[in-house]
Amino acid sequence: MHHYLQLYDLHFAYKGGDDVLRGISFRIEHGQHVALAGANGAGKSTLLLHINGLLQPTRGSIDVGGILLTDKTEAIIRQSVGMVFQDSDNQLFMPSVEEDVAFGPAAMGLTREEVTRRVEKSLSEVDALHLREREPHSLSGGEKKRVAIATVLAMTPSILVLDEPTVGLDPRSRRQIIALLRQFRHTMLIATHDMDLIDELCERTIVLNRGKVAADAPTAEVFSNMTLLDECELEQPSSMRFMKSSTQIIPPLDRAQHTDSNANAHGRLEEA
Amino acid sequence: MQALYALDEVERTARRRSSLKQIDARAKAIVTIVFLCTMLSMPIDRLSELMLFTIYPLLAARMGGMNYAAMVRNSLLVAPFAALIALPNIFYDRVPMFLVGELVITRGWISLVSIILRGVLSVQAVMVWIGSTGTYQSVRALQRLGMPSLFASQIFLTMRYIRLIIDQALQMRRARDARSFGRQSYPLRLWAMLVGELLLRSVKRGEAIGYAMAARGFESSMPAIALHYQDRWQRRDTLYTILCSTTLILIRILHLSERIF
Repeated sequence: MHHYLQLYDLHFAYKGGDDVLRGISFRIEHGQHVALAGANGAGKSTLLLHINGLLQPTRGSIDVGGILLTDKTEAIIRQSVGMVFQDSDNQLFMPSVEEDVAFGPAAMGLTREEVTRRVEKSLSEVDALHLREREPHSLSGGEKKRVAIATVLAMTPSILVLDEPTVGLDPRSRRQIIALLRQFRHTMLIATHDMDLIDELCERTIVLNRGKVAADAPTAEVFSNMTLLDECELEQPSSMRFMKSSTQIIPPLDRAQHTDSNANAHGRLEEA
Repeated sequence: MQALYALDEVERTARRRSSLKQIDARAKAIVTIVFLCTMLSMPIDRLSELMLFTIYPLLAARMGGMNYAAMVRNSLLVAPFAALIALPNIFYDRVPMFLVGELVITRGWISLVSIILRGVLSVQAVMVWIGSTGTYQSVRALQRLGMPSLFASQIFLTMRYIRLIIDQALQMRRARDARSFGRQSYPLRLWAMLVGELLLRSVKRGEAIGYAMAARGFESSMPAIALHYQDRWQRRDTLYTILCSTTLILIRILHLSERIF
């Protein structure tokens, strides 16, 4: 099945509050990795909750692979759209890791053998099979996030929706999560403040600003538009900022010399 | 904190292999209910017969590979609460029952001990059941025995999230202590605010957990997750249920202690 994701003019307001989403429309093609960037309160998490049918829009509609999201289609869509929440403590609610991973497939009504097979497969995919008997609360932040991803993979979704997958992780765990996500061939929508993650994983970035799409373009293009980034209270990834600052520190002539001297040093090392 | 460790220990024990674990969760639920009904319905002054009921948690803990001494220690956590409930009996029920030396033991004192013992034994019976079954399977057994799924889910989530709520409360206490400069007592208004804040945080977390469960197909009924359990009722389950229930009922109705002692 061709799993595209299409949002038409999505509006939403919490009870008694202002509009959080104000006419969001975009389409994500099958297999695309798309980032959803925006400052705090831009509406990223609220938008993600709509894609899984957890919140109902006040206006507009969502089409997942040709199925319009309604009360009746909610269950089918939740099987094909896997949602990884920002706080893993909320996502992991069963007494043990394996029971948590088994929850989704069991709720789908699969046989015991199939549930067991899926638990083992999805835990292996995230390199967490050895954690299967542990209590979720005893895991480290990185382990919790990997298990949270496994709970969703066990339902074999076609579209992965991730809310801040690297927030609160130490550098090593963060790198592991990025490496893991890079392996997936699913259609992915990642809401994040981690600009480096976007730079590494997503070919396209949608920028939200006060509930509206401020930009929808290739990631490189978004990151080179400083006016847009300033307006939306975002920054370039650290790698781009580093490149920029290093070109400012080393003047062009010196840079050429610096490169030559590096090449010479490299040559000398090889000779040695 | 001891309560938190006790909860963790119960879940850990439930994952170990044991002969009690092989018994269907529903059979253990039925026996636990029979135990609670027979033990709690015992007349208040029959302390010696009440003592006979310790046989069940003791034997079941052994069958379940559980440390009974640790279980007794953990179950004693409820003793102060039970004592609080029974305390007025000492003052209102002054009928003398027997003498210990020159000390007159009134019925009020006996009922105090009896209520504490009942509280402790009840906790032990529940610990034996959950400790050999696990929280999820235990609550699901209740659902399969006819408890409305909404109640079953509520019980499970409450048991599961007591830990997170206690964690949250400890974090708030730490934050308060960090800015209290050694001050030990606080006005009632501050406590009320802390409890209110804890309630709001719990509601917020509850909503987030609800979303996470719904996203994975949860509607209202808890799905069957039987990775290491035989989820079918077998002959040994019938035997276990009949044997344990009959023994407990006999202890209750035959006044065995009078015959033995």
